Amino acid sequence: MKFTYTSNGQEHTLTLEKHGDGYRARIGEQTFEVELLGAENGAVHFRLDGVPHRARVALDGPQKRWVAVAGRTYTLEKSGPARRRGHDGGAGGGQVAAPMPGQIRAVLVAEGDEVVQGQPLLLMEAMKMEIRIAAPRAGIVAVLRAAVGATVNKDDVLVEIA
Amino acid sequence: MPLFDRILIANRGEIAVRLLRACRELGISPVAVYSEVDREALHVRLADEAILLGPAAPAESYLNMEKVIAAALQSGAAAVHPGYGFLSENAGFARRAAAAGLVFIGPPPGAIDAMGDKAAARVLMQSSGVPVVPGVQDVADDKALAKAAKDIGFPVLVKAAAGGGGKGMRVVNASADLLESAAAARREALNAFGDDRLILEKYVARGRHVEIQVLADQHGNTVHLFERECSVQRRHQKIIEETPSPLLDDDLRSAMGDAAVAAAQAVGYTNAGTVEFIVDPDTRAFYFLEMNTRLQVEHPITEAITGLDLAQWQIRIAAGERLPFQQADLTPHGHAIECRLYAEDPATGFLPSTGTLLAFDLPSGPGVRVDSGVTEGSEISVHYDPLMAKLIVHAGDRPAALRRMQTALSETVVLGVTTNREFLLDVLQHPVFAAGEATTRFIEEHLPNWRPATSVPPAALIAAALAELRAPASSNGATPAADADPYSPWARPTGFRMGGG
Repeated sequence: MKFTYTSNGQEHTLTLEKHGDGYRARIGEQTFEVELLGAENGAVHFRLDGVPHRARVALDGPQKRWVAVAGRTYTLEKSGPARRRGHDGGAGGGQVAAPMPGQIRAVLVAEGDEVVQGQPLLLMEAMKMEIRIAAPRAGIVAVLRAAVGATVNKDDVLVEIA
Repeated sequence: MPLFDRILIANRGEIAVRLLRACRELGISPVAVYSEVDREALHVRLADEAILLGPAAPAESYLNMEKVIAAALQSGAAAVHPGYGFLSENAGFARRAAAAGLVFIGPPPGAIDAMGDKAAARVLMQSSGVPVVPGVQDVADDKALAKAAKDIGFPVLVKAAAGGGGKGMRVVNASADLLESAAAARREALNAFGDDRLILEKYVARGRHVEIQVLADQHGNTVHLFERECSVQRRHQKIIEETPSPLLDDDLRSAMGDAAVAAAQAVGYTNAGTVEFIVDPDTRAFYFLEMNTRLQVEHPITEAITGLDLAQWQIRIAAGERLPFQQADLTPHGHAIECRLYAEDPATGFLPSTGTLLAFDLPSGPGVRVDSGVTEGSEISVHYDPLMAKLIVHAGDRPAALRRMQTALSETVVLGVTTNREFLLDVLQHPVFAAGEATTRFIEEHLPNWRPATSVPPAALIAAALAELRAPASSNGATPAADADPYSPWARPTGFRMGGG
């Protein structure tokens, strides 16, 4: 079975195939012998080339995976055939996304406004912190999806600059 | 003297849980309050009674004096413990509680007022022999401001007289920037506090934040419980605290302790409080910054080295008990460190993060204490402070405490919400911190633009794939999709074993 995960913009492809009592894993040029020792309550216990590992794994929605192993935590984005839209750079270009979850405190522009790079567009507040969201580049405010008092999630696109 | 039968805890999160436990151990019935989003919170589950205050917004719940006092009266509580934050340093609340016949577990309102006005506190401290940062508290106009800044010498700090929490605070490095910074600080101060008076102080650029815990009963006994060093801060907020401070020797400790006791006595302080100082590590001079008239987040490390339960002593003092010890009876033991586990992302300037805790494994073992307000399944929302838990370790000496904390942090697993756990580990392992030399500028000087390890090891990918195989991730649910595959090992309560593990 083939699995593709993205982490920090880097794609990792892994194939896992049955091999004896366990699996053989292939990542790029490397192959590993994997023996599954146990899997319960979100814990995965396995031997990797004979070395025991105990990992905690959480499936967060259809694509996001959290893995804690050897004292470190990783977030992986599973790329499936299901969809690969909406992840092409997120807030790249003229899109302005919420850098944190929180509330919109002030909207400083309107649709159709011409803005210059660095011009404040919105004020957001979360957990006692106030931050200013500025235009990533000059242009016209084509779409404005923020109203004062609205609660938004991290990475929600709030403004599009054309 | 009898203690109270019931106490209302006017707070949430880890501190509400910690105070609930203090009540239980004293045989007092604890009553919780909560907002609509905290219905399932740990402090609600552990209390004898829990009263809904209102919607999530603090002004409509935890900060709403009328609702909190009404809840206390309704529950039959004799006293109110405010915890930290929210209403804890609100003299108006302390007065209203008293007027309603409730004991406010904290200092007298007059002491809160006296320490709340930073300008007045400076004057009072100076006249009580407590050293303050060189500066002026009354700057009439821009001309006076410019002259004062020149006399003090740059860099200077302009800050709001009514202030706190970093609002209305500006570091000014050169005279050219002074008036503009002062104007901005005045605007911020006016917005935040309705008061635009400023204080001008010398800025101790590479200072150490060292604070002294004090405890005072209502019979005139005031002692200090030694220091806590809290120099590792981001955005003027502490993330790691320890005691003893690696900077202090016995002479400096005793001088600072005496100053803290003098500060407390100058305002007629009772109950637990903390006097914050900035120490110049080169000259070893120390200066009063402010007094926090409440229990601090980092109080557990003082409990570890003194063996005293500060939360219980707050209650006993409020009930009129006398401290059974004097300064000479107190000796600190060993070394304690606290790390604050925050729902925040150190890689994006410590912006808060939210989500559901899909896994939450906490450390344990000798000398390890965890004060947590959340459990697996808890929702971390945007409404409140992002502190999830505090890890506290106690060991014989600093190197042993550092190793113990590293082990504790390594055992901690948080999935579902981004935390500062790995950042904390990197701070502990940094040679400057390990040498005990971190200043308040440590993070910006030594760990700017911090990023977590970027390379993903094979073991992480394989673990994810194995979990996938075992639990086809067809659902959107936060928990493994056991229902999708009746043969999945995740579905079985007894777990799953193969390959002789």
